[in-house]
Amino acid sequence: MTAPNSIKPGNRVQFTQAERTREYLGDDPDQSRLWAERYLLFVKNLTAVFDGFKAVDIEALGVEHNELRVIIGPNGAGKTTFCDLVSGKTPPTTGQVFFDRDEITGVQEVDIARRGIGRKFQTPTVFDSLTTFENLELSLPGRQGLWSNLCRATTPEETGQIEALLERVRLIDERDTEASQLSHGQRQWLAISALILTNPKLLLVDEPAAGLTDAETALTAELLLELRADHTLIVIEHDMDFVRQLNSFVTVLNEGKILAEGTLAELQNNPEVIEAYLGR
Amino acid sequence: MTDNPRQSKRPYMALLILLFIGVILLPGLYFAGRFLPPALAWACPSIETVNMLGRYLTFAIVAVGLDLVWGYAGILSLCQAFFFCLGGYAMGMYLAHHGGPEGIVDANGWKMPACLYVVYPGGVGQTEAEWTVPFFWKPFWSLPVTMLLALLIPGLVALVIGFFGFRSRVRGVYFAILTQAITVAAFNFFSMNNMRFCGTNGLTRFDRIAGSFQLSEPNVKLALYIITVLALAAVYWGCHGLIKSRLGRVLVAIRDDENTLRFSGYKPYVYKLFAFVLAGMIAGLAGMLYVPQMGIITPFDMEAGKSIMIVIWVAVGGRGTLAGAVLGALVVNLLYNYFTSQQDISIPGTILTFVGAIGGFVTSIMLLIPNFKKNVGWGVASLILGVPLLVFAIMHFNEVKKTFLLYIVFIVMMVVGFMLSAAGLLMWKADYWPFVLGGLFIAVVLWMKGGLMGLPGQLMRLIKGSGTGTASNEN
Repeated sequence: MTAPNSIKPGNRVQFTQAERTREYLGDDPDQSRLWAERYLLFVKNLTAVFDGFKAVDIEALGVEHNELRVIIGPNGAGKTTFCDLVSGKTPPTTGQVFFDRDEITGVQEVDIARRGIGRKFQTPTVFDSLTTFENLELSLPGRQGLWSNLCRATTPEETGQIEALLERVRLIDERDTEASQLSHGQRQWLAISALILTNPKLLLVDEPAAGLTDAETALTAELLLELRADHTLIVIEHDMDFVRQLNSFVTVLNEGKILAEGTLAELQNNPEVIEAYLGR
Repeated sequence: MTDNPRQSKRPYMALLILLFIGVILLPGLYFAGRFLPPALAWACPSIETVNMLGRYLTFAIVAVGLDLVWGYAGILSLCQAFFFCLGGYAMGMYLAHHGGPEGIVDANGWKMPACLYVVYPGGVGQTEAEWTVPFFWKPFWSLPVTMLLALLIPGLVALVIGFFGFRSRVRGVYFAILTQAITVAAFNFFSMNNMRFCGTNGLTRFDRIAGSFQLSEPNVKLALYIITVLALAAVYWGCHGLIKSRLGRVLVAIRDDENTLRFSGYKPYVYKLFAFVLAGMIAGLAGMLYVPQMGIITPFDMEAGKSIMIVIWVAVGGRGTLAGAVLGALVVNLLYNYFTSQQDISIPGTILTFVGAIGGFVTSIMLLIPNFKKNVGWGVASLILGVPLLVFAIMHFNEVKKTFLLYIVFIVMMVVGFMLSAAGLLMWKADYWPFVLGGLFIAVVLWMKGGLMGLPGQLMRLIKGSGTGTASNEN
């Protein structure tokens, strides 16, 4: 498989970690707004403290429009906590989160989801008693209100849309299977499909390749790269082969802090990164 | 393996059965009983039986409501009996207004219901002439207003409980405790004479309904029964439509994983509130239909235990199937009726003896066959003396385990049945009912998680031998 070259020069303003920190650190609200305009997702001085333990401590992190950002890091580096902070599952202790020019710090997770941040959890969360098709039905965009669910059935177009997606992720044969009967890989894909169908602006994809076979991993990478055409993605991953296939800009987290940023090739030569993660 | 109740191929089967038996067969038999000679009429239901079934059908209505919130949305509510009683009290106040001895009038000339007069909490130094009917009794003079309020009040109470409970994400067992606490508080509230709801005496002395229909008339009782059947059918139909809609799927998703749903942009509390309020109103409707058929409503109808009984009905019938809720409510209550009335047990005893004897005979032949195969001499000895067969079974226990255990069960059945039928004068005591109920509930929890509705599928699996027979492989 030929991986497309994901980092377009000129599209990205390259900063070193130190430069970014210096620029973002001031409490100037105008400066924050300026960065929030440039980036789809922008976090500033973000910390999450649990019982005195700093799980996340990010001075500044921005994800551009239509970017695929990979976040890697050893266990306990705060990758999933970062997702929790962005998606509103956990409120940050300090700091600000900007999404699509608005500050979303402290907004309820439902409202964040409705603003356009979709999330796939680390363990694939699907609704066990519903069939594959019914699971996806729930993810159709714009159908989250009570009355639209009570009074309007799924339209043929929506059915077609779901079936096309099921075809794509090779779940069409399992259309009417209860989700509890699906294999782990199928559940992963169902969770990813549900996320894709929601059509959010930003997709937080937490470990999409966990427990998948090599062939399944390759298809997942293909799907995610395809999505980059009109979505922004943050992918959290452990599997280095998978990260290589994505061939994107990588942020390395360690002990809650940003350790380094760059392409995977650059990072593999970074002694700090090797020390913290890759070398092990 | 996926017996998915939401995709049942015969969705209206249960409804048709209900309507056929409820509206055609039973009233038909009842009318036949009126005109047939006594020699044949004994097999037809009396008006008392019809009336009893009418009451049990109102229980089935509550059970359908609970199944909606518990079976589908996964909210264990222990205040359905409270909602039932709110509807019941509304109807009771209407009936009390129009019943009892005429001529008791309060200080303002408003007719005072007899049950209120008896326990009226008069102030110190107040004479009977100064007593007044409290303002909240007065809307219940008119039947249409009563019917409306009997639905709206439980709905409103459910809205308040649900709003605060669901918004602050009170879930699972905590919500059950919350609702039970509210029920206990309501019981205490309604038990006090000072609240002018007639205290622990409850509302009684009902005579007429809708003008001049006497509640004691058989035809009125029959009409109330038929109205109840139709109400149950309507509730069933409505809930079925709801479950089949996209909203039903959202409710199931809430039961499965409420948190994930939130990240898909749903507000689970809105859906939970909707289902809870609907179930409250359904319970109110049931209570409204129950009271004229029962003739009394007291605070004891909203005791904590009553709500738990509703949960048991649904669990026995099969949680998550609407037909199961109806079936469970009817089966448990009919069993209750059977076991709390005096029964001559010589007939069931004889039946038990016969079943035990036949089963014992068949299984002993099944034991004899391997016995003969192993050793012909031993087989002949077993055939003649019997005891060597037991020795053989115990020695080769691993090979004939199932058959041998069945054999023992049948023999025990035969002996117990024989003892029961021999002691034909022995009467079944009502005290045994709690043990029957407890046993039933334990059996459902341990071995038939799908309830009565899941039983056919479970038996099919047992016959096919693809499962262990228990529902443990589900979920």
